[in-house]
Amino acid sequence: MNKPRPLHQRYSREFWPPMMVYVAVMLLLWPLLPRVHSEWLKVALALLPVLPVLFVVRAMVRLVLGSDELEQRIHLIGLAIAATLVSTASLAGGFLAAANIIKLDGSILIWIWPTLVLLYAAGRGWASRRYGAGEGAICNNGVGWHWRLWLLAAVLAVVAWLGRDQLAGYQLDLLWGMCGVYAAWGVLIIAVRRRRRLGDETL
Amino acid sequence: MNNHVRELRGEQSWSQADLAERLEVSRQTINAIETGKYDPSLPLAFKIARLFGRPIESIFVPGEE
Repeated sequence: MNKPRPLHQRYSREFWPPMMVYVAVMLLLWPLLPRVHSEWLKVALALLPVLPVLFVVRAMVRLVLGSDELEQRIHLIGLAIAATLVSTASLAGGFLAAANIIKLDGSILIWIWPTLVLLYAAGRGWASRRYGAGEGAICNNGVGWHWRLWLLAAVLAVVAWLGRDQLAGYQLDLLWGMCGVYAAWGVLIIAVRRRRRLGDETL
Repeated sequence: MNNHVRELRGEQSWSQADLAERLEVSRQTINAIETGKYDPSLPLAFKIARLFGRPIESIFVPGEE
């Protein structure tokens, strides 16, 4: 991986602290919600995770604004892919729910933002490779993708473990399933990279 | 569109990172331009031409339609 650019270092500095605050709020404060009786306090606590997310969004906006023209194009492709997939899936889910084929809880809206961000990152990676740039070209903060995925898997595992008594069965299955997928994805990245390296050495 | 950016950069003995710094873009953008995977905008193309002290049409050549 190339040396991180100042722009990406600034992004890491601005992205990770609010992200950690978000995780801490979700793990430590949000579970207190059922015990709060004051309506205003309930609203404040329910919306508290949005505050660090706004800082994450600010970091992302500053990353895009500081990028050059090709990087901005790659961001646009990533966003277009993510927006198309998420909006189409939401529409399909909405139709199925309206037809009473599936039952959707309002809390499913919580998953829209993380899904959008993950698909945006995947779309950006795809577009980046299309223009001949490697992994981390658009946001190389010096941390490999496999580590980021394993960190995500670890956070989901902690959330699932802490919420094992409060969460419904399907929610726990979803969290453990996502944890497994991210962990396997990280392993796959390592395996593909090792295979490529072996291929290069034999040439 | 084809271009002679790689040859011109070689004449100056600049690395892709050196050129990227002079043009205030990323090294990946220089690589994408040199390999023909990305055609730069007009402002960036003029900036490249100005940096190498050549007319734009001697650096960027239209490809086959």
